[in-house]
Amino acid sequence: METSLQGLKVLVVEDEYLVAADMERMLNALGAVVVGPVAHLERAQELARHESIGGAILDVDLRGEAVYPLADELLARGVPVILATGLDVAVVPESYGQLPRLQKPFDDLTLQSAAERVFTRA
Amino acid sequence: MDDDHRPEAGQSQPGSLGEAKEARINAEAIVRTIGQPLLVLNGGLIVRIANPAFHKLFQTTPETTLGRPIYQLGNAQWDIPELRRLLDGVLTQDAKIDDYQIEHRFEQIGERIMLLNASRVDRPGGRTPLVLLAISDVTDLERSRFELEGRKEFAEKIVDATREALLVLGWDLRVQKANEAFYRSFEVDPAETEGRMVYELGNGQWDIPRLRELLEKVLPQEQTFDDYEVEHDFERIGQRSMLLNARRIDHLQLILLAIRDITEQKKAAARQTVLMSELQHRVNNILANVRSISMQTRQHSSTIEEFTEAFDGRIGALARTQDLLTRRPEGDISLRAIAARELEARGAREGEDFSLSGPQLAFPPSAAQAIGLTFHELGTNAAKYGALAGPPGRIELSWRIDRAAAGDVIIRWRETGVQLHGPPRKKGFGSRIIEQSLPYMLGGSSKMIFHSDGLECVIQFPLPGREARD
Repeated sequence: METSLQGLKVLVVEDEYLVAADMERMLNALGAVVVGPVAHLERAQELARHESIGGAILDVDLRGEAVYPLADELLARGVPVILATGLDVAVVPESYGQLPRLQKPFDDLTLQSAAERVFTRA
Repeated sequence: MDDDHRPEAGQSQPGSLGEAKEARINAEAIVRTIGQPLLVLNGGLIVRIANPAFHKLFQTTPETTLGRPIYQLGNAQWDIPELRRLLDGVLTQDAKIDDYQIEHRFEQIGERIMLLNASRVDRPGGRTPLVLLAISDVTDLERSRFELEGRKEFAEKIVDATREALLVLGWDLRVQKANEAFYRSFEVDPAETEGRMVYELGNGQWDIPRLRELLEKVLPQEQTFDDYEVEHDFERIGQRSMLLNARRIDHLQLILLAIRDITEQKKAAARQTVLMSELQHRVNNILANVRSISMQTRQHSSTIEEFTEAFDGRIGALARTQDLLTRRPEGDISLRAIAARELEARGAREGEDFSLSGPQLAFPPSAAQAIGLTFHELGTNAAKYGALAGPPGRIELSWRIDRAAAGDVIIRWRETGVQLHGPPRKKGFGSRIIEQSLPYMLGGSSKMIFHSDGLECVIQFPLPGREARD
């Protein structure tokens, strides 16, 4: 499938294997190149520093560890970020409330439209 | 006229006796005018004077009353043994009857309660004394007093029986009464409560600015206040949330203050909210997993039948782990329970088809979910091509903590009694789950070794600590 995401490197950080595998499948289908997926913050930060990334989909809570430090790093570098969350809206801190968000569970089309909107703005 | 009257008539002659006559006329005028029923009896207890108030009360007339013995009046309705005894005492011993209460059924006016006052009036000249008998009808007074006492008792019993803590305060804000519920809830006793200012109670623990405002500002203007919530840290019972209701009882100059402890109620509501959001989170997670399983299974299936069988099996595995989680909502679930359920679900029997051995190990929900799914996929493969396809196949499932490897968990799944000819040609989603899911989530590794007598799968990962929330 030819999309505007063709060849875009997307970092996927998600601690649930099944969900990560599915996001990988979706992004591959859209022609994006998945960086990861990874389940742990430290490993994700390491990956992010060594790859040129065009966008990131970040699960907000990684086994009790908040993903926000990584989000800060990426945003500082100008990498667009989408938060993925299974929690209700209130749990996301106010300062990250403006970031685009994917509410789990989400389907292929929801991910596609969010990714196209957020990652190809420039 | 009786003979007793005659000498008195002599006093009515003009001359030195004029003064006495005037006094007598005055006395009779007083007796007539006075509002209280009054009888003047002579020494033989014959009615000499009955005043209008008496006639009015007992519905009699002078004709049926004067000159007759008191005990014969109105069909002998005054012939009361108690009265006989009393009047005898007055006459013979100059006794005084002072507010003596009698209850008696009178023919005309029914059941009455009377207060009797009587005294002897001695007369000069050896004449027989008179008896002055004043009668007060206190029936209504007594009845209302009785009723009032009944109401008071009623009110007191309500206060005592109420499970809500109640304080009865005077307008000076001193405690007049507190009920059992109050003493129990706030762990105080009557001695340190009654008569004290409400603010002084229990070491000043009721000296709450909000309560002061309510009692001193709101109540004087509003008569009542309802459901004011007050948060306060009490010396003996700690932080509490209370609902306060008050009523001003103006007639009695009292304030009724009802205190409802809603601390537990509020805690329960907060717990409920947390549980609901936890549940919502879990449901979303499960749905995300189901979606993933369905999409991945579809990708690796050639026919709808193949898809249905694999998808159904995986949903079954999710459901079984969920079931274990529901039974232990607060705790982790044991590796043994997950393994036994997964293998038994496909009809395998412990001891015959498989053996389980290892220390007690328990895992938080998402790890448990991944372990369940991994065993499910291993079981599916074993049923298709391995140890569960038929005798003499057997699975030996064991686990241990490897001290040498920083306390990693090592799970070993070893099939025997199978004839294998190398690894399968095509790797499906099931194999990916077996090889990747636990290492991905928990870190670690997984390897599959295809022995000639069956598969060996070894999965190694650090023992998970905190549970992921998402």
